[in-house]
Order: sequence, then structure tokens, then C-alpha cells
Amino acid sequence: MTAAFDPNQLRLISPEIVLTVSAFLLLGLSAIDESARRIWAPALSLLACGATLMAVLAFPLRLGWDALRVPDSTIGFSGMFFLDAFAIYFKIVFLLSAILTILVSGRYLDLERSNSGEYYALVLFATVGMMFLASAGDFVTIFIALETMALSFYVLVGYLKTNRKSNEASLKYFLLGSFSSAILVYGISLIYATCNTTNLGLIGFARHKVGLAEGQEPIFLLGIILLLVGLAFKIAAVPFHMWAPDAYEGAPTPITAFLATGSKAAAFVVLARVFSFAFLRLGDRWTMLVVILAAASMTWGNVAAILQDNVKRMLAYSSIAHAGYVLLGLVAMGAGDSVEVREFGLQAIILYVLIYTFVTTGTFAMVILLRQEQMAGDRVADFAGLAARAPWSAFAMLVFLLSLAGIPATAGFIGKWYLFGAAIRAHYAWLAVVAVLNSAVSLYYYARIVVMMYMKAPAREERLVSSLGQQIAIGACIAFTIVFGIYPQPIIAFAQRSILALAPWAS
Amino acid sequence: MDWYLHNILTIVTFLPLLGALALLLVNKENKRLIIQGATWIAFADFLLSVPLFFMYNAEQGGFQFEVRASWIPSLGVQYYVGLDGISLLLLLLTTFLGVISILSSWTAITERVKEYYIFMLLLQTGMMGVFISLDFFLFYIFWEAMLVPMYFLIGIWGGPRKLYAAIKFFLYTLLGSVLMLLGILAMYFYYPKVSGGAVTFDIPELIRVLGPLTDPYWFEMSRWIFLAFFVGFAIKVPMVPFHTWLPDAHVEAPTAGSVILAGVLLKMGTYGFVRFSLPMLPQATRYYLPWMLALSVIGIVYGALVAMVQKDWKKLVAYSSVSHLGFCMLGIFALNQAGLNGGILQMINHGLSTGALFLIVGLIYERRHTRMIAEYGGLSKVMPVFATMFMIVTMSSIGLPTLNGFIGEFTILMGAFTIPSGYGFQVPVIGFVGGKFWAVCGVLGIVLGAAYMLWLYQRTMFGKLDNPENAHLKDLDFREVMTLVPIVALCFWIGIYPKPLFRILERPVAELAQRLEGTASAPVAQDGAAAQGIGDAAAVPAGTIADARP
Repeated sequence: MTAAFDPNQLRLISPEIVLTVSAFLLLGLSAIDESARRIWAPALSLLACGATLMAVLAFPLRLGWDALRVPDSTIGFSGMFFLDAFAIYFKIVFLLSAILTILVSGRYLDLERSNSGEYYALVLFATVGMMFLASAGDFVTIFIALETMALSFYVLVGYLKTNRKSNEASLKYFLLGSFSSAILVYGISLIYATCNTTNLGLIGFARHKVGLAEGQEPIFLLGIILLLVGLAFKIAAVPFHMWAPDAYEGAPTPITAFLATGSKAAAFVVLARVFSFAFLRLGDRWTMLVVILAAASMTWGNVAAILQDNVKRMLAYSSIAHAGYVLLGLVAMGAGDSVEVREFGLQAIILYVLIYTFVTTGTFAMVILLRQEQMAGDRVADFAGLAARAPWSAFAMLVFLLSLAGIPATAGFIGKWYLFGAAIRAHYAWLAVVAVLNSAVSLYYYARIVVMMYMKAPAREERLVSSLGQQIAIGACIAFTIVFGIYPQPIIAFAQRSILALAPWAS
Repeated sequence: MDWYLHNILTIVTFLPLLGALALLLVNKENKRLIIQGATWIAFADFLLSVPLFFMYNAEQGGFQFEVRASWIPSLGVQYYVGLDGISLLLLLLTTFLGVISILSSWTAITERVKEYYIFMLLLQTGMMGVFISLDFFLFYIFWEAMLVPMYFLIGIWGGPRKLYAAIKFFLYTLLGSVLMLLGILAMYFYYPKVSGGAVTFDIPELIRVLGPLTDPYWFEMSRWIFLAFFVGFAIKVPMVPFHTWLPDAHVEAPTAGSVILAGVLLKMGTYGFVRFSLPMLPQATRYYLPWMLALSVIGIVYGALVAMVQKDWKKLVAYSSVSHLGFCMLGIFALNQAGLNGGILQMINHGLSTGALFLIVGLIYERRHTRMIAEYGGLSKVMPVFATMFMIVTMSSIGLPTLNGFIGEFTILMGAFTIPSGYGFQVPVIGFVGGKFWAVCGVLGIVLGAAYMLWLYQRTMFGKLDNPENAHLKDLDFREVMTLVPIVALCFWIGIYPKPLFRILERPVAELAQRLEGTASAPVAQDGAAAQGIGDAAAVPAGTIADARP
């Protein structure tokens, strides 16, 4: 822990540097040039994301994937930063999520009359936070990165300054978010108190090889519990989900999409990294908590979603339920009796996060598409007769909904397949039964939108106007959902290669 | 030609999908082209599938026309298709009813024509995919993906309560299939532990490895897997008490939807039992046998009794399906060659006769827009051709000799009478119920079946023509007759000369019966009806019967 700072290590964070500098440039530019707001800001931010993506991909392309394994991989900044294949996988997910969000934002912000450069800069800052989270190897890095992301989101959720719901959502999200961060920090401090380090790898080492001092074990476990609670807030798992429906409903819809995909994925990165590096061999202590969180989230999320008339709220509850499904992977990581099972759980998590990012962004993109001059487009009834008005849009929404429900031949099925399989392999068959029953329940409210689109007369006749960005984003999401639903081999192989990075710790 | 023969299953299965994609390009106002296009595609598909019947080598048995290609190597998923005698007959039934149902929709469907035929064709591909899949993953994809077009067919073109019926159908069947998925997963992850090899979804391989296992751990696990499969398949069949979606779906579905639903979809449940539950989980099957038999005969009698009191023509036919499918289940769970033969043949028979009954209801509904039996009476006077057709189909349904129903029911009862006397329940007061009792219930079902069908015929066709609205009903035109004639011809053929069908079924059924027997590759009895010894009480593992008693 005493290695001197080596400027060469800055190479490791070059993608993050590119993105941060671009975000500042964007801020400065939009202060100088008024016209930058509408046209240049989205273009520049897309360019920045593209450049960052290149910078991220440069590592595996230059070094080869095999070099990106812990412990051989590039560890920087005294073990605070890992650039392994696992981190790169998630950085790609976050950047894609950010790109999709930016693509669908332009026209929406125009309609809301609040298009400006700061918006895009904040999206980029949030992405920077997520990217650091993916690489974080130390609780200090985790906390700083998490706050970078969260602070950007607090502002973005309340971005519609004249909209009361947006303001309310922002305040609620801010209060509960800070609250959860405090719990998280408290958990970290307890763990630090027992292990004398904040480094994830060293915590595992201290706990298992050296052993804790007399009477410290309960404090250590309390730390894990508080940490889990803090992260459960971020992924909106029941009973820590209260903020989600309001924040999702009030936020500008592109931000809702980003919140549901990027921010949630970021929290799962931390869960996966922390629980595989530091706490894996304590599986028997924490698995039960995760099981309860998973069962409660799936069940309550789906039941509450049935009652919603606002699509954004419905999708908020559905995303709570999906967080519950993903936790099945964590259960397998904790309860698995062999390395293969734990790896399978980890693989299920990261695969699902990737798939969920595209499917959910696609779904929200459809809600954004329905936002027209005279229509808010976020009620279930707004979807009435969409199949007659815009057959292709209705078809896209149908595919996204089927994918969320986990119907085969869509990518969502592959994700569910992995998660249910993880639960079965971890000998939690009853939890798998709860999960599949829930996915049957979820079909009920997804089908409500399908009924509206295909089996009701259109409420209005005018054509749907869409921007090029929206079309590209929806096209990309639909292509992903169908192509990888039928031929998932590439993404499965990608996920498999990425978790190899964590394999030494999983054994 | 070689290429065609090699890929015949793939071609037959995916032709309707290609057709549906082609229809997407047609302007939706050009209804004539859409209808003709869909009809020709379905007809071509039927013609392409017919050679299978002649090319299938019945002496050789086993899976034929196999095609195998790697698909998702990480999961051990293959594109693996093939046919044995059982799936061959069901595939032919599917392509056949596909043509009939599309033909019957010409005038019945007037709105959103393009979407309708696209969904019909997609449904065809989904159903055929289920029957040809020899990879569990592939099978599951078809099994669930097929629900979507059916959901739309009921939900868009259905009757007044279509939305309710459609979502009920979708939820019920989805619930069953996701539980089945867990069973598949459990099996999939257990396989490598036994075989030492990599994971696989290869169905023949799973049967080969998991079927003969007898260790206690697997026995307990296989009972859970059996239950998971049971929910999936029993909902589809439907077995009482999982049948409540069926009357709603049938009554609200458009005619063609009902034909496909009764003709093919329900068969997937029974097919699932025959293809998966029985050969993969023989021990668990025997363990739950008394329950399965009890549910089958409850289905037979209950379905018949409820059919008896229906006021709605279509609902009556729907409940008769519950009863008839109970027969199929009784035959299958007799677990001997005669029973299995009969059960599988009865699946085909039911597809033909009940399909025809739904067509008949559809024809009269198109004319009068009511299905209330009380609205009709004396129709034979104004619609003689219709009445004749209806008569033949009724006779086929109640099992009159020289018609197909008789052959099926007779063979099933032959199998049911040889169910070992040990399979049953100790009921308080009454004493032991089992053995021959199941067959007796079957006979009772036949009697009740004749009663409700003949009574229906009498109330609608005979008597006075006292409702003036019925006085000028148009008799069937050429197209309408042509939808019924092929079915009637097949009914007679199977009734008079069923040997070709039995010949095709013989080997696969013998293999299955042998597997259930638990004896390794002993010479198989060649005569389909002479396999009486199979299922002897002595072959039952000790303790199984006692365990099964409540």
C-alpha cells in the first residue's frame, strides 16, 4: 500500500479522463455559445462517449483479453483501481447506456423546452462515476465514484425546473439517496474498524487468512449488512425501494431510462465486486439476507406494478422486480457449493444487466416516442390503438415487453434462463419457483399495454413524430433484443470471458 | 432433391414463417392476394409434409430425418430436429388442420385480414416446431413463442369476452410452461453429474442417461421434475382441475382458432407426457400413476357431465374436448402398448373430429350469429348437406364402429383393462378403488359422450323448424363442404383401415413401453395389441404402490 505514485498509471484511467475533460468542455461551450445547446451539445457528448468507448476497447485490443485478469491484470493506484476484463465489460455497458440515453434525449428536451448543454455534461459526469465504480478495488474509490454518479443524478432527476413532479422526485431521491449513502459509509467504517483496510482484496485476506481480533466478528458482519442495505437502496430492492416509483415518474423520461439501467447496473457492479472479492467465503452469513431481498422485490414489484396506470410508474415497479431477479445471481454466488456454480451466478448477473440495459432503454424510448406536442404519453391509455397508428413502433414495444416478461426468442429469455438456472444450481429451487411465478404475474401488466396497442381503437389519429436519434436508439435496442434472443452465443461468450477476471477470488 | 430430403423438416416448419414475412410486404388493402397467398402457403406446406408419411421407415423406428447443428455451444444448445412415428402423425395433423383452418377463415374474418393470416402462419411454425424439436431448449422456444400468435388470434378476432379469454389463456399456459422450465433446468444441470460429460439439451441423450437411473436421490428429484412437467402439460391438455381456461378460450376464439386450439394445441400436453415425462422419469411416473389415472377419469366423466348441461353449442364441444383428452390420458397412463397406441391415435382422432365440430359450429355461427342451442331445431330440413356432415362427425366423435373414434377408444379401453390391479387408492368406506375401475369409468365416459352428442344433434337438427330465422338458412357452399370433406374422409380411413397408422406408431410405442418396463433391450412384441404382459403388477417397484396410497 505504499507504492509511490507513478504517472504511467494515468494510462489506466485514460478513458475516464477523456470523458471528464469532454464533460467540462461541454459545460464551457454551452456557457459561451447559446446555439451549442440544441445541436452541438448532443453531438459532442456522443462523440465523447464514442471516443471513450474506443479508449476502453483499446486495452483488450492491445493487450489481449487474457492479460486482463486479476491478479495479472493492471492494478493501479495502490490497488484502488482494477482494469480487468470485468471492469471493461461494465464500462462498455455504461457507455452504451449513456449513448442510448443521449440519442433519445434531444427531441424530448425540446418538447419540454429545457434543452441545454449542462444536461449532457451531467449525463457524462454520471457515466464517469459509473466507470470508476466498475474499476473500484477499494471502498474509498467505491464511495467517491458512487457519489459522483448519484450527485449528477439528483440534478438530472429534477431537471425539469418548472415541473412540480420533477422537483418532488429530485428532492425525494436526494434525501433518500443521501440517507442510503450514509448507511453505506457507516458499513464501510465498521469493516475498516475490524480489518484496518478499505481495500477489497485485503479485507478478504484479513478476514480469512489472518483472522479478526477477538470479538470483532459481529462488528464485521454488521458492516456487511449495512453495506448491503446501502446498495439495496441503489438497486431499489424491496424494502428499500420507496424512492424509485416517484423518482422514475418525475424524472425526464430519458433520465428515467438511464436511472433504471446505468445507475442500477453500477450498483450491481459494486455488489458483484465486493461480494466476490471481500465477502465470498462468508456466503452462509449473508445469503439469507439476499434471498429475502430477492423474494420481496420480485413479489412486491410485480404485484404493485399491476395497479399502476402510469407507464413510467409501472416500469419503475417492474424494474424493482427485475432487481429481485438479478439478486438470484448473487444468491448463487453466496450459496453455490462449487466454483462453477458461483461463476454461473456471477455470469447470470452481468449477462442480465447487459440485456436489461438494452430492453429497458428500448421500452422507455417508446414511452419517450409517445411524448408528442399534445400528449404526455406516459399513461397506459396513451398506447391505445398504436398498432393501427404506427405498426412498427407497436411491434417494437411488443418485442420489448415480451422480452421483459422473458418470452423465448427474445434476449430477456436468455437472461431469465441464466438467473433461474443459477437459483436451481444453488439449491434454492423454491426461490426459482417464486421467480417463475412472478414472471408469469408480470406478463399480466405487460399484456395490458399490448391489449391497448393491438386490441383497442386509437384515441387520436395524428402521426407520431420522431427524431433520427430516437429511431437509431430504438432500432439498436430492437436489433439487440431479437438477434441476441435467437443467437445469444456472442454475448454469452463475452460475459464468460469477463468473469474469468474474478475467477481467482471465486475459488 | 437430396437437399430437400435432408432438410425436409426445417423446410416444412419454417415455410409458414417465410410466408408470414412475405405477407408483411403485401399492402393490407389487397385482401384477395393475402387470403390466397396464405392459403397457398399452407397448402404447399401440407403437400411438402405428406412425403414424410411415405418416407418414414416404420420398421426401423427411432428418430428419422434428423438434422443437427451447433447453435449456442456455451449452453450445449443445438438445432436438433427429427421425427419418430408419434411426432410424425402430429406434424401431419398440424399441416392438415392448418390448411383447413385457413380455408375456413375466408369469409369469417373481415377485419385486419393481413395481421390475421400472418398470425395464423406464425402459429403453424410454432406448433410444428414443438413436434420436431429434439433439443429441449429449441422445444421450449417453440412451446412458448407459439402462445403469442394464439393470444392475438383470440384477443383481436374473438367474441365479446375476448380480452378476458385471451389473457386467461396466456397466463395459464405461461404459468405451466415456466414451471416446466424449472424442471428442464433441473434435469439439464443434473445430467453432467451422472454422465460426466458436458451439459446438453439433447432429448434422446437425456432419455438414454436419465431414464434408467434408479438411485434414491434421483428418485426424489425426478418426482419434483415430474410435478413441474405435470403442471406444464396438464394445463395444456387440459386435465381437471386445470381446465378452466379452455371453455373461455374456445368460446371466444374465432372458428379457425378453436380448430387449431382443439386440434393441435391440446395435443401438445399429451405429447409432452409421451415424449418427456414417461421416458425420462419412468419411476416418478409410476409413483404418481394412481393420481394421473384418477385425474384422467375425473376429466372424462366431469367433462362429459358438464358438456351435457351446456346451453352454448361451442361450449358443449369445448367440454367434450376435456372428456376426450381424458381418454387420451387414460390410454397413455395405462403405460402398456395398447393403451399408448390408443392414446396417441385418439389424439389424432380428436384433432379431426373435434376440429370438424368446431368448423360446424363456426359455419352455423356465421349464418345466425348465435350459438345458443335453443335457437336452433329442425335444421336438417333446410340444410341437408350440413346435417349429413354433422351426423358423420358426431358419430366419429362418439366412437361408432367404421369411424376413427371407435378404433381409438377401443384400443384405449383394451389398454386400460390391463392396468395392474395394484394402481389405485384406499378410499374410506368404499374400500380399494383401482385396477379395472379406471376402465369402467372410461366406458361410462363413452356412454355419456354418446348421450350429450346425440342429444345435441337431436335438439339442433331434428324436431320442428319453429324458429322463423332458421327457415331460410343457406346450405353449405362448395368451399365450406371442401373444408369438411377431407376430415370426413380421414375419419373413415382411420375407422376402416387404421393399420398404416398403427404400423408407424408400433416401434416408438414399443420402445417407450419397454423403457417403462425397465427391462433393457429385450425383443419387442411385434403385434401392437399383444403387449398384454407389459405393466404387470410384479414389475412395479416395491413400495411404490403403498407410497401412493393416501
